[in-house]
Amino acid sequence: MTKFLVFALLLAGCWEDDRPIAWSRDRTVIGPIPLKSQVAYIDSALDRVTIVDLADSKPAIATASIGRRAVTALASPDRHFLFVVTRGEEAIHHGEIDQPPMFWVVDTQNPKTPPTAYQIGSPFDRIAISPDNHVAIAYFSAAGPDAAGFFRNPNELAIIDLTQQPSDTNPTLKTIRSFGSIPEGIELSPPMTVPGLLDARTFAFVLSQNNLTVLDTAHPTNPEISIRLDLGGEPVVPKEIVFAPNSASAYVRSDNARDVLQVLLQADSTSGTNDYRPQLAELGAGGGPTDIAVYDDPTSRRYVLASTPNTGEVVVIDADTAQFRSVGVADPIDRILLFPTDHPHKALFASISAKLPRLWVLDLDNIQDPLTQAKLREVDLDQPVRDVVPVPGRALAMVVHDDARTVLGLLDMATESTSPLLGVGKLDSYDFSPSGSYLIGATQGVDRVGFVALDNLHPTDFRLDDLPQRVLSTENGKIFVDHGDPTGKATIIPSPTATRSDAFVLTGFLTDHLLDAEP
Amino acid sequence: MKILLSLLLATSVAHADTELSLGSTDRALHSSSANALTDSSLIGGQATVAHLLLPNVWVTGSASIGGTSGTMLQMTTSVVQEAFQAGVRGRYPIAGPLSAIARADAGVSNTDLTLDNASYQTLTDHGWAPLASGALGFELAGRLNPGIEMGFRFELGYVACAPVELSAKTHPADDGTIRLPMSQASLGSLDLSGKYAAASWLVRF
Repeated sequence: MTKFLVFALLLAGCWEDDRPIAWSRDRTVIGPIPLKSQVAYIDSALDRVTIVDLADSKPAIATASIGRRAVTALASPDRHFLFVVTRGEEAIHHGEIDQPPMFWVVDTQNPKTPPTAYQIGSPFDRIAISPDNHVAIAYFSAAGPDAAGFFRNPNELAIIDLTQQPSDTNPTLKTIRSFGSIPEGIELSPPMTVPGLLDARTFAFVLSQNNLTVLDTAHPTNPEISIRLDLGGEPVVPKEIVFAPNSASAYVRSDNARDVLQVLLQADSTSGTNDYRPQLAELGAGGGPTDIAVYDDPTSRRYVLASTPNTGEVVVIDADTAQFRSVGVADPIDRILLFPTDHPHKALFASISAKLPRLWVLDLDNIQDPLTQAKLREVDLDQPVRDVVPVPGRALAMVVHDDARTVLGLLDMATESTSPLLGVGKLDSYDFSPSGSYLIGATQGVDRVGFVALDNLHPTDFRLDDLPQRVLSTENGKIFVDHGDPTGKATIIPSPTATRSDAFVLTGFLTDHLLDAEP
Repeated sequence: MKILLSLLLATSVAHADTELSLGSTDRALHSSSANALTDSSLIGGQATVAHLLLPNVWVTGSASIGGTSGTMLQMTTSVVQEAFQAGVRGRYPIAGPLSAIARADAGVSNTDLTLDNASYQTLTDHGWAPLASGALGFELAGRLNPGIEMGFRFELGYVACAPVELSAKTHPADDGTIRLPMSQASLGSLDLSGKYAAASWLVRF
C-alpha cells in the first residue's frame, strides 16, 4: 500500500513541464527569395530556412536550421546559395540562449548539407557578395538593425572568405577609416587581375559620403585605401560603380561629382603593405553624370556611357584613352539601358525624375568613328515615363507610365515602337519568364495572375483561388505565386501557358514537419 | 432519468456485476509535438461500462473525449481527441468501502487538430491511431440497497498514443467555385501520450 501511495505521489508531482520558449516567440518571415529552381523563406521564430524546390512536378520541401533572429538574407548572384545574418540572442529569460551574431551560408542545391556559420561579432544588417561567391562582407546600414546593444560601430565590416571554413581569422573584422561618414553601400568586384600581380583578386569598394574606400579582400588585414571625393563644395555621394575586370578598373558615378571617376588598380611594390594602388582619372563627362553604363565593343574596347544633364549631353567615353564624344540632348537624362545587355548595339535613355513623355535611342555601333554621325532618335510616348525596365534576354524594355503601375508600355528596341498595356490594378509584383518570353504580373487586390506574351503582346490571365502577394518565376520556368500566409500558401503554375488543370495550391510549407521539430 | 433509474432497479440482482461510471480526466502533455501546440493539459470526460468477469476482475469498455487549446507562433491551436478502449480492471479490497484498483486498456483514438490565424487560412486535419493506457487508483463504494452500489474512483495512470501524422489541410468555403487541386505539406507527427489523472462516479447494479 505504501509503495502504491509513493508511486501515485510521484506521478502527481511531475505533472507540469516547461514548454520551449520558441513556440511563443514573435515571428517574422523573410521571403520569398527566388533561387535556381527553388524559393526560400526564413523564419525568425523557428530559426530555420524553408526551401520549396519546384524542380520536379511535385514540390519538395526542405528545411535547414540557422541561428536565432534572422535579420537579413540574400541569394548569391548565381542563386545557388542563400546567405543569412542572424542577430543571435542574449539569455535573459528562461529558455533563451546566449548566441552571437552569425553569418550563415545555406547550400540550397544540397539542402541536407548543414549550413556553415561564421561568427561575425556584430549584428550587421547588410550583405555584399562577390559575383563569384568567394567573398562576402557584412556591414551595417545607416540605421542599423535595431536599438539593441550599447555601442555600434557603423564603419565595422566583417570580411568573410567563403572558400575557407570558419576560423579565428575568418571572418576578419575590420573598421575602415571614415572621415565622419558611414558606408552607404559596398560593391565587390569580380576577380580582377591587376597587371604586375599574379593572382586575380576581389576588391571591395565601400561607398560613403565624400569617400571611396578600396579594400583588397585577399588581404583583409592590410590597410584599406581611402579616396577623398569631395572638392570642398556640395557633398559628393558615390552612387553607382561598374567594373571592368579585364582592365582592373572601376568606374564610379557620384551625386554632385563633376565627372565619372575611373579607379584603375595598378601594381605597386613601394607602398609597404599593399601591393597595389589605385590610379584615379576623371573621365571627361563634365557637368555631373546622373547615370552611367559600361560596355565592350566587338574589339573588346571598353566604353563608358554617361548622361550629363548639366551640359545637356550624353557622353561616350573611351575608357582606355579617356577620349570622349558628346551627343547633345536637352532632356535631363537619368537612366541608361543597353540592348542587348551582353553585346549592346543600342542605348536607351530616359528622364525618370523629370517624368518626360519620351525616350531616346542611340546606335552604339561605330560610335567612336568620327565619320559616323552620332545622333539620338526620339521615341515619343503618350504618357510620362516613371520607370524603364529591361526584359531579360530580349531587345525589349518595359516602360512604366504612372506611379500606380497600371499603365505600361513595351518598347521594341528593334523597331523602336511602343505598345501600350493596360492593367486592371496596380502592378504590385512582376517578373519575367527566364527566356524573357512573358511578362508575369500580379495585383494584390485581384485574384489573378496576368501574362503578356512578349512576342506578340497577347495578354492572358490565370484565375487564382486567393489574392496574390508576390509572383516569382523560377529559372526552370515555373511561376510561384505567394499568397502571404504565415503558414505558407502558394499557387504553383508550371508555365505561362499552363491551364488551371495543370496548376495546384501548396499549403502549409512554412509549418512543414513543425511538430517533429525540437526547438 | 427516472425511467433509467427504474430500469436499473428493475434489472438489479443481489450481486452487482455491471458498472457504469462517468468522470473527468486531465492528461499532462509532455511530448515535444504536443508542447509545440499548447502548454495546457488535455482535459475531458469519459464514460465506462464494466462487467464482472471473475471475482474482483472486470472487463471494461470506455469512450472518452478530451481537448486543449493554446497558441503557437501567433496562431490559435486546438486539439481534440476521441478515444474508444476496452480492457480489464482488477480490484483489491483494502478496508471497508476502500479498494485499490489497477486497470489496463487498449483501443483507438481520433485526433483533430486546428491551427487558426484570424487573418489567414485555417489548417485542420485529423487522424486515427491506436492507444493504450494503464492506471492505478482507489475507489470508495457503498451499497445503497441490496442490488445497487455507488462510489467514487480516482486513478493516476499513463496513456500511450501512437503518433498521428497530420497535414496542413485547408477547407475553403464550398460556394460552388471550382478550385485548384491542393497539395499539403506535412505538419509532422502529434504524440498526445502522457500521464493522466481521472476521477469518476460509478454505479453498480
